[in-house]
Amino acid sequence: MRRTSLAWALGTCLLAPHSSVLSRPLNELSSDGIELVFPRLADTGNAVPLEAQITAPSGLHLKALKVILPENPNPVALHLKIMGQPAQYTLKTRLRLAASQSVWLVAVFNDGSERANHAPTVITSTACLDES
Amino acid sequence: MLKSAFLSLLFCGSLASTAQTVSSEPFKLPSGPLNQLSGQAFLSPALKAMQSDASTNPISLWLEQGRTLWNGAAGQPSCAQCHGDIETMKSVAPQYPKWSDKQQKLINMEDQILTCSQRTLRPLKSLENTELLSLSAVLHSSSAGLPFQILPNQDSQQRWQVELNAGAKLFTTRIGRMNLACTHCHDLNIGKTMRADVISPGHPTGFPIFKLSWQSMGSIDRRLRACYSGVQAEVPAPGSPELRQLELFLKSRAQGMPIEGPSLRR
Amino acid sequence: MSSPILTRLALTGQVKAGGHVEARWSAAHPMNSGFRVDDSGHRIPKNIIHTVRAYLNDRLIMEADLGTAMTSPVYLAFPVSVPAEGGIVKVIWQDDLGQMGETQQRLVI
Repeated sequence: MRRTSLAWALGTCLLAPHSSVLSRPLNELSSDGIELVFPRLADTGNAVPLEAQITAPSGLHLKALKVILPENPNPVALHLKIMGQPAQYTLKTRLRLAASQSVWLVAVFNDGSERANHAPTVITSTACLDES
Repeated sequence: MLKSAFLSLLFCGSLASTAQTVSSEPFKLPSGPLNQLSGQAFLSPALKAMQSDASTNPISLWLEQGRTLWNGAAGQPSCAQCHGDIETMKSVAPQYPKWSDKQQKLINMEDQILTCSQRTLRPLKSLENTELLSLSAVLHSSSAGLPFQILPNQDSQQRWQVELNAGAKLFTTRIGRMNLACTHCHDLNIGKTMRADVISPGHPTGFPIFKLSWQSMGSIDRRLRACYSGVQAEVPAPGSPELRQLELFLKSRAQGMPIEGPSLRR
Repeated sequence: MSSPILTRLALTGQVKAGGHVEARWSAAHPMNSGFRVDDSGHRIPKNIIHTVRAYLNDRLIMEADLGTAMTSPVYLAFPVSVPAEGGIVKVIWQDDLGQMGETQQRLVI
């Protein structure tokens, strides 16, 4: 599952003409300093809460964060650019997931280096068809 | 591994080293009779937490809009001009749906708001209109804690009884491709799971609801229509008499249960 | 839909000079992804909030590009450092139709 979703993410960024979302395959990046809180089993695919706590490596500060959902039709959920030079950052948001997958959080630091961590979830939908 | 554990401790004690435990608490129903539980008991711990904090609860947006609409911007016509402070309206929502002799049909809270708005310079157009739902939200919020008070008017008791009986009949009549009546799930199979849903008794104490699967607020009219599609039956149009009859029956069935104010649902 | 999009900004946490508060911003925007179809079978056109900017005392502190994976209502919580003199946190959003909105909160030490 992980390999196909990574292949999908790589494929997506190769196809997208303008995006420079990923400089390297995500699983090659270190996940140190990135803690993710993401439910293992989501109440609904329509609003899955994500919390990310990032600590920059010593001597560096955070410049940007990217939230990527490889199985979604538009995988880049959020690209957040940070001014002021924080060594620590806590981001919380709610995401819509098209399918069960891992969310990837990529942290970009002021020297251009990147780190990434991921967390899997299984989404559930309401049991009954709702055409209201 | 050690470094992440150290960092977890540094941030706060509630994060375990796997950093995923917060929203994974298993869902458990309270002990006791299931048929008297409101939908609140069927929310996961994560959703209860989202609901309990105004800064994370999506409903806060509608409540604020409702208050602004009720009180009106400076110089603008407002509900408060006729009805006064919203707090004085708390006994209103528990009485709906009511039989209207004038319209010769049952009307619920959203129907009434729609009717009221026609008398103003800002008539609203549909039951699921976001401004209408935000007014319904603040009205129900002001009634939070009060029990349903579903009673007929003096002069239309017979007609009201006919409507209530119709609602009771609808609740026990099989419909749809699935050939199910409401009672099969909501009386006979409470607490059982269907995929990731746990069947509740279906007491309408939390309306209007913010349903995450709708990604918006919605009325009881919409939720009942969703039930029809759930059993793969033909969905009645919004405002249909059978939806009001069911609402009358459901609220009578829940007689004495307190209104919870607008609530979060999956 | 001519009614304005409702937004909410809450600053939570202890307000101490040199410390941080958490800005919790939400907006009741429909966030139409462009993938959904209405009752008559027509595709609902894409209209999402694509940019959110946060300012502290008129200085840009955060700029976010949002995709269709952001839920409705949009919810974003991020840290804001508290300057000694306090100040105003302002959040501006812009959507695909060119609509814009602004919310602000005061930081009082």
